[in-house]
Amino acid sequence: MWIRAFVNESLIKSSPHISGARDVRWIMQQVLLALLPGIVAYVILFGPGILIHLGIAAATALGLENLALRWQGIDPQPFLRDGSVLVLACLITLAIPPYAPWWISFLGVAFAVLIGKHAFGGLGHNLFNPAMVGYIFLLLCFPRIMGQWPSAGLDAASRGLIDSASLIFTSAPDGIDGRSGATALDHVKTQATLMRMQSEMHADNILGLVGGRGWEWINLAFLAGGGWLLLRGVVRWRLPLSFLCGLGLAASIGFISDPELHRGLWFHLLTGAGLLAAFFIVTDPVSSATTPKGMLVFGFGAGVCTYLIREFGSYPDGVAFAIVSMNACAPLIDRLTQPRLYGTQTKETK
Amino acid sequence: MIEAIAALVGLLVIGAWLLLHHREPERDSRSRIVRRIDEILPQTQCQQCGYGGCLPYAQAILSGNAPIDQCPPGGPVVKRSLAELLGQSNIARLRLSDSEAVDQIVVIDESTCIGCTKCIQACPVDAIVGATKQMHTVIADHCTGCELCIPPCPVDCIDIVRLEPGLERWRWSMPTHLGSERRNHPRI
Amino acid sequence: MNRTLHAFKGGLKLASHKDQTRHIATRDICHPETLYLPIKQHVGMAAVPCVEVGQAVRKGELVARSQAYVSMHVHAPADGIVASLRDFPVIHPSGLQALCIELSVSERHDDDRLTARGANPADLMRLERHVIYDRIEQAGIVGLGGAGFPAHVKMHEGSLQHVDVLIINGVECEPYITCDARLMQEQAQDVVAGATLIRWLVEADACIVAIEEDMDDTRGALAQCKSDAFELIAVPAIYPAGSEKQLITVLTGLEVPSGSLPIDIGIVVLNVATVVAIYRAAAYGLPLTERIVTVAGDISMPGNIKALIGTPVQHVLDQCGGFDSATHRVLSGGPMMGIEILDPRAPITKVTNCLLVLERKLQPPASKACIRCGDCVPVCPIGLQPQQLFEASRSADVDEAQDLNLFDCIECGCCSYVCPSEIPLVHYFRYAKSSIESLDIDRAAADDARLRFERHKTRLSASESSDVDEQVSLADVSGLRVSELQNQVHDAIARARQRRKK
Repeated sequence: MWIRAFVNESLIKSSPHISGARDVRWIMQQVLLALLPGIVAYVILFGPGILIHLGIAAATALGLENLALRWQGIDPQPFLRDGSVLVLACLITLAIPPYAPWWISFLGVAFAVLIGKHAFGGLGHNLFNPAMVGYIFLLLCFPRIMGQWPSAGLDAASRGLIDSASLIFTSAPDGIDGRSGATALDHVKTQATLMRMQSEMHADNILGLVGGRGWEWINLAFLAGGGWLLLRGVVRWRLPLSFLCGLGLAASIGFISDPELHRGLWFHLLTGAGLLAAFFIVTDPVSSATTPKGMLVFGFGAGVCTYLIREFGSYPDGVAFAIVSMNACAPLIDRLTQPRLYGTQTKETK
Repeated sequence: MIEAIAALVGLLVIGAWLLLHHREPERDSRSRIVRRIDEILPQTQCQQCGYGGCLPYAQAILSGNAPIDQCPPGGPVVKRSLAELLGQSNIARLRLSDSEAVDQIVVIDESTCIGCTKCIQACPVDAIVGATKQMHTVIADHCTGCELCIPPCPVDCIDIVRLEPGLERWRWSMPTHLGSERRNHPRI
Repeated sequence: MNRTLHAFKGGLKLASHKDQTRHIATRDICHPETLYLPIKQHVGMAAVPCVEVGQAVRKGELVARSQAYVSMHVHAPADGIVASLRDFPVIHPSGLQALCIELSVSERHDDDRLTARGANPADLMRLERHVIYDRIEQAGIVGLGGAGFPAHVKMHEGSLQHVDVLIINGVECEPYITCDARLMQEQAQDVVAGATLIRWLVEADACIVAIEEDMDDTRGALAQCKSDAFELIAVPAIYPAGSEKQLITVLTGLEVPSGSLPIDIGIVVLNVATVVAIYRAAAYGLPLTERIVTVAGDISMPGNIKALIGTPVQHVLDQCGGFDSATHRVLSGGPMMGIEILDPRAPITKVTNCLLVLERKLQPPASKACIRCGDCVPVCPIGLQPQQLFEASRSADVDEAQDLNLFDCIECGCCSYVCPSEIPLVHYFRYAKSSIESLDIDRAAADDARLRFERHKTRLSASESSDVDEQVSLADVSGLRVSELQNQVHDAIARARQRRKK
């Protein structure tokens, strides 16, 4: 006989007594897997520098997460196991120029984990996307380093691992002069201020077929990863699609209004962090809207904001700022887009 | 230049409107606050707080003479509600699950009762019925367990009965084993 | 048969696990020596025992009487002697005990009433309707699908309003459970007779028997009866399609307004086992004393068994091959909404439709932090925001939880099932609901006490002003000095407290 003499409250478990197979760990594994093609494209185009930064970022993230949880008196084991902090590290690394000094990724991740995530209450409680918070911190504090991207596919890609390491660990912040320059978005922006028309820029070396040279391929790799996530049901279509629609629509309107001043749809989608944002950043569950309609509003708003900042703001890429601004609106969006409740319909369907 | 100034002024106006529009409502008058405190108190009229009943205690709380944690029957729930009402936020962090209010009522041992009516006079909520030289009894649903009837009884025939948590009174409690809960959560 | 089906929002496609038991014929088990009859096996007030300890009762005799509108009688499932009236473990999430009538079963007498007084629906329909209602009430029938709402109350409400559709619910959307499917297959004639009778009884315009779409045997058995009293409709097997509200939506496209009952939109839903029980009560006068229970999961002899109400769970499981309590646990009901049975001595009641043996899984520690992934939102059949409700429930924010329509939650468990952080969401919602309910009860009691205190005060002051002489102080009566009196008071309280401790 199996009888319990007394009833312990902690034994009382509510139904349901079974659960689905997905857990946070599985979700984060899928996201990391989906980031792989993008990282490979990075390595091919910019050389292995990013791998070193990934290593630094991952170590920093795990270490600080552990520390931050211990400070709060929480067992860090389950949190470290679920891998959410590794995704955070990857996303920041992908936004950092591959030959930036080593402390850039360290600082970015540290800020993201400690301030972006734990200062707000840890996993699930952060108001802003921690990866974007870390990136914005770097962008504001070290604008020069963060703006120096190597030209894709030139000498950077042929650089070896040891060479890259020495560059990352030893060089002074501006020691990579000559081998690096602005990104395509940067270029278009500076040239536009010099009153050059878009049609005149077509032949510019830095621009590729449609987007920035090289960036098109990276973005396509992210698209492939995003497709995988959609297929596995990790990401639902609403957020990425509405983001791309917002960005695309705004870009098309700009292009139609004046093709000589504004770049078109494909340029905006395939340049900078366009598709990375659509599938990996906008879709961050913690800081985005969660109601079905709210997701559409959130994604669309982030897309439009991105375009506006790219075209009219003073920063070349607006993804981070756009998403952080929308994060701030997410609770409001959620509240205003509550779905209709069963049994509360207004019209009679009889 | 003018556009910039206009935009800033516009923002200011909107911000000010938002702030002022959602201002805290007018402060309640004293009597209204006393009434609201009284509404929170459990109305056992047991005087365990040291005041003559729930209403006198409410008045004492508002005048600042009485702390808000002097109500044993109310337990943490009442304490929390009072703290919320009066803005004593350090106490407001109590949770519903901390409710430990003792549920008890009294019963009269009817074979011992001599029918003196003293307990009937003592009962603040008219929960005892009976007449002189007649056996008395407690209406269980009305009894608040305040114990005020026990001292006057000359023959000690009133017993306190703890209400056991039967199926009808059982409540779901907060789930346990949550990794994300802070272990050292501040408690009162 | 050309009724268009509608979809309800949310829900889950679950592995059905029904093949384990659906092809095995219902079997009898040997009866236990002792039955335990809880006096409350239903929604509403508990019944009041009307037998004495030591009294001999016959099978079908009334042992506990309903004394309220929403309450139900309890009958003796077998001949025997009332051994005691005492608290005994029952199937309840708390694991607490409740008052049961312990019945020592005597040797079994053959029951010949089933053949003796059978009446067909056509004969019954010549009777007055209230006669049938009376028989249903006397038979102690409650909803057998799990909720346990007294059937006569539901029928009575149905008779007061116009009923457009009578829905007979044979949709067992929970995994593992097949007791209704077997019942419809094996006793199709009774289902048809019951449907005909009840349709006449509540004067429904239409009658639908709903079953799950992958239950071909059941559909075949019912179709063979070729009755035009009802439409037989198969609904998609999406959990919780068998839930009353969701089933109504699937079949009619209507939604039960929040806070209302199905009858308010002209619909009565009855579980198929309830229908059969009602027919037997009306035709044979048989009280509800046994039911079909699915025994499934990790057990060697799964299947559906016919069990007397009051049979201890342990006895049933022993008859089905037994199980290892160290590695397994037993649920009453399905895996999504069932109750874990903390004590196997607890008896089967009128609402126990399944005993499910599941392995105790040792789960690796999960972070259990809500990452707001929103997986719970699309699966909620009500359209709630479980992730927001979770925050409100956890911080015991009563107003916020009610703003988010906590009380519309049907506790189906879809949100907890999909939650990747394995947060026991339903547990949180139940906790919040219970907290709010008990606060409301306390508040109502306090308001009542305040009112009586105020009247008490007014009366005192009135009598004080009229004749002061009548006022007697405690000191006057006992002739003691104040300090002595205080000592006596303390002693009195101490003595009373002492007694309480015992």
